[in-house]
Amino acid sequence: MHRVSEVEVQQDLLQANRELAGRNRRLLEEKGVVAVEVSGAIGSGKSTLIELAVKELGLSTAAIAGDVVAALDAARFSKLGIPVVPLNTGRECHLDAHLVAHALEQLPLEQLDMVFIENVGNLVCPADFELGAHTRVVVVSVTEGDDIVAKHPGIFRRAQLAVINKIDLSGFVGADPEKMARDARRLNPGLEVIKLSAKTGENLSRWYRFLRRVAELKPTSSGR
Amino acid sequence: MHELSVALGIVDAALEKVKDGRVVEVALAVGELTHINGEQLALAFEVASRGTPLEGARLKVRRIEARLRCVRCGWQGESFTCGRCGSAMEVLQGEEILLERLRVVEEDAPRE
Repeated sequence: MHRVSEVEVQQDLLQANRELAGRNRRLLEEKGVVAVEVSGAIGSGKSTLIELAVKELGLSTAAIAGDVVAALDAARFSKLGIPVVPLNTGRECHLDAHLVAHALEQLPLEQLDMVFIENVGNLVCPADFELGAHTRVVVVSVTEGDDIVAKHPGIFRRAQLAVINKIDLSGFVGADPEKMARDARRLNPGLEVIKLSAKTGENLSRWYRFLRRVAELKPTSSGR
Repeated sequence: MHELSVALGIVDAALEKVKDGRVVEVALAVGELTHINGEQLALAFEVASRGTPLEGARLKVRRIEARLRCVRCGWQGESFTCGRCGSAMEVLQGEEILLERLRVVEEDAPRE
């Protein structure tokens, strides 16, 4: 004889990550640290934009560098003389709040103004996993084709800033940065969009201005 | 692409609920706005459930449609931008990966 029963569960499997993300955010706020998540496509210039910002802003910064394997980005950030925690996700395609919580334990939060969290190069999976950052930046570049934004609505909808990088190359690759900016604003009317070139320096001042504004906000528990 | 971590999450959550017996069916509801692929999830679940009381269970996946509401005028729809006033929309549903229920078979006969 056997008995069959239905067990009600009704549990959101993403909820555990959201709760951990909330805990990360509260910890950062207690310590007066602003966290900036930088997500985006592979090779779009995430690390370069962080490096430039660390040098320019004159704030006490640190970086958490997510990579599937290796720690190449972390090595780049270490050269700047800032505290760095490399995070290897192994087989996973995104950082999650649990990994970030452990990384935060290794940083001298009392001494910091701003933490950059560089996600794994991927425009899909990171969208589902909040990390606890106060603001999310998505970086793409014209070399990925000017339909890259429209193809990845999820991550743009959940971001506060979209950076469209390498605009100096748009003529060579036949991509229209204006179209990319329009697509991004259509997906998320509240989104700030900056078209820039990290190489030539065009519009980089806007990137710095955005970050200074975020730093001035100082943690007071923002939205999601 | 993170189907494996979702599958492991299903197994962990189920093992917390079910202390005795075998799980023969898992009912899951996946929001349209998540980035989860049903077929890949089924394969990942097969791997993740191996050697657990969930091994061999049927995974039933229901889709949850996206529903968004305009933050300014309250218009509801599936788009990310309000169809009436062009403002931003907030998500009402479609971002969840919900483990709804489990069908469990328990053997009554005492065995030794």
